[in-house]
Amino acid sequence: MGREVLSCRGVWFRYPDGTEALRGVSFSVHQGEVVVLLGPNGAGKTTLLLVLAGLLEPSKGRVFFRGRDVRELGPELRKYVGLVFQDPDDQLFCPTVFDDIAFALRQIGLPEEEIRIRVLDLARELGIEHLLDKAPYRLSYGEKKKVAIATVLIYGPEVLLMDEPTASLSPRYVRFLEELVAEGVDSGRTFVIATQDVDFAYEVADYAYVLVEGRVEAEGRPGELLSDPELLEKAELREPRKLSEILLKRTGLAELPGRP
Amino acid sequence: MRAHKGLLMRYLGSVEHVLEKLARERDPGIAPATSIFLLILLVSVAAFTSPFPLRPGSFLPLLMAIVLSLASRELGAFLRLAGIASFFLAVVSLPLLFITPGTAFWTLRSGPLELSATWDGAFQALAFALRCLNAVCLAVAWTSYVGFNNLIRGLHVIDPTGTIPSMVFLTTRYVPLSIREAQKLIAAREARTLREPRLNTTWLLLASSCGDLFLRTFHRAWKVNLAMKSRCLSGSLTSLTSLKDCFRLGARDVLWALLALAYVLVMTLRVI
Ligand SMILES: Nc1ncnc2c1ncn2[C@@H]1O[C@H](COP(=O)(O)OP(=O)(O)OP(=O)(O)O)[C@@H](O)[C@H]1O
Ligand SMILES: [Mg+2]
Repeated sequence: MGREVLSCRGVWFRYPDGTEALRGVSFSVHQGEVVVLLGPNGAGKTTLLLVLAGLLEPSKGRVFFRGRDVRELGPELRKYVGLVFQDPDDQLFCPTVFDDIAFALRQIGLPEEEIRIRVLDLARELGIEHLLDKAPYRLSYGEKKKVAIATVLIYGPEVLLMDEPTASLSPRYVRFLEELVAEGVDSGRTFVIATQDVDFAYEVADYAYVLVEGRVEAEGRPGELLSDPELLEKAELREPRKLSEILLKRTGLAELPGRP
Repeated sequence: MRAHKGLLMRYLGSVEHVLEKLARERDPGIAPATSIFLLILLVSVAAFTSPFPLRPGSFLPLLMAIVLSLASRELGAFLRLAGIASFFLAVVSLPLLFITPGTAFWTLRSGPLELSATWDGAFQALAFALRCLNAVCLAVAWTSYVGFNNLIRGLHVIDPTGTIPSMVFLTTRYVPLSIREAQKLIAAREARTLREPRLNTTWLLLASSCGDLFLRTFHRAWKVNLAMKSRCLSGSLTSLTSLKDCFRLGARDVLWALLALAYVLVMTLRVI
């Protein structure tokens, strides 16, 4: 396992309306690792990702990137840690899809010609070329999700934080995401993914954290966590399909009833 | 969709459409400094030159605006905005017709109240409206030609600290955002309104949801701000890496400066 890239110790976060969204969360992810955050709605997954990205400052506790406090790093952190928001409407704010994907590159002052080439390449890879001239808010939800991922992939951050990346996407796209994560890991990228999709989590994750009411309820290998019925009940999750199939085969109940 | 509901939605839609068009990234080959200086020059000359006595030169800014918006292929957006501007100008300049002293050509009497429309008033109102229309149209057309972002970058010349450019940048992003929130809010409320909608209820709906709209927009803007921050690799929103970039002058800048000079001479010396 690589060295620790992003971590936090005893993080508390309170929203201005008094909601205590995180209550003493400690978390860490190592280079080239895929970590998933599981948990019921309102558990604090999104808040934790915003804190890890350095966008929200914890009321207590500290966040570290490669051993340095992110408060010291300031805006420099953004080059290394990219965040794909849960709601793509929050993430996309430029008049066209092209401008939105190009936003980060224009920030670092690349020549327009090179920006064009890079954006076209990535769009082709993600199959969103035909959307480049459209306004982001006129896209379908799934298309927005793809564009939102592209806006972060374009500048290749080392650590990619993704909030519910598979929500309302077609199974084919979910498979594409799984490949994207696998390829990313091969090239040394690190992923932190908040999700409710246990099948996806089981497929991609090396390690999992289960958040409940702003606390880490459990952490460990996804295979172990996702086969603990008590934990699944608490986290409002179900067993991943692959795991149930294995168990069924073992108990000789593989023949699932279907329509005659 | 019923016509009246369409009216409000169409109005909001048009404003949003125009703003989005203006905010598109363009590459006109003009340096940011030139674009902001010429904007100020062209618009102030149009605003401060009286169109009377009427001559072809009185319509020069309008004509230039049309040519510019044709060049930037935004004639549709331009005409929409010209339409909206004309409507508001007509409303705003109407009082001039009555408050300017002179020979009355029409008098409205209602009990003790007497309102006289004067020829001088009509003249004043028309001059005011035409000057404003000239200035607004030229500003919009120039903006759509050089691109809003180019102008925002040019603002760094006026405010090198970058505070004003960032504020303007955020405004260009937040106004369409709040319009979209308004549209969603209206649609969501109407979907749950079981009575037959009427013209006044649509406006009432918007009026009654103002507070709500403000809060929602504020919340969304907060999230969008986080998103901008997270992708703002240089630390400056306007993607200007150094002030020197503002002054990369080229042949086009010289050409435009000469054209602008000719325009100023024609307008002030009243050649045509
Ligand atoms: N802007 C905010 N202001 C106040 N409270 C908030 C805000 N955003 C989230 N919360 C609250 O903080 C808690 C954690 O929210 P968070 O969005 O982190 O949950 P989540 O685990 O991502 O849920 P989901 O699975 O539904 O996305 C919730 O109780 C939520 O109501
Ligand atoms: Mg969430």
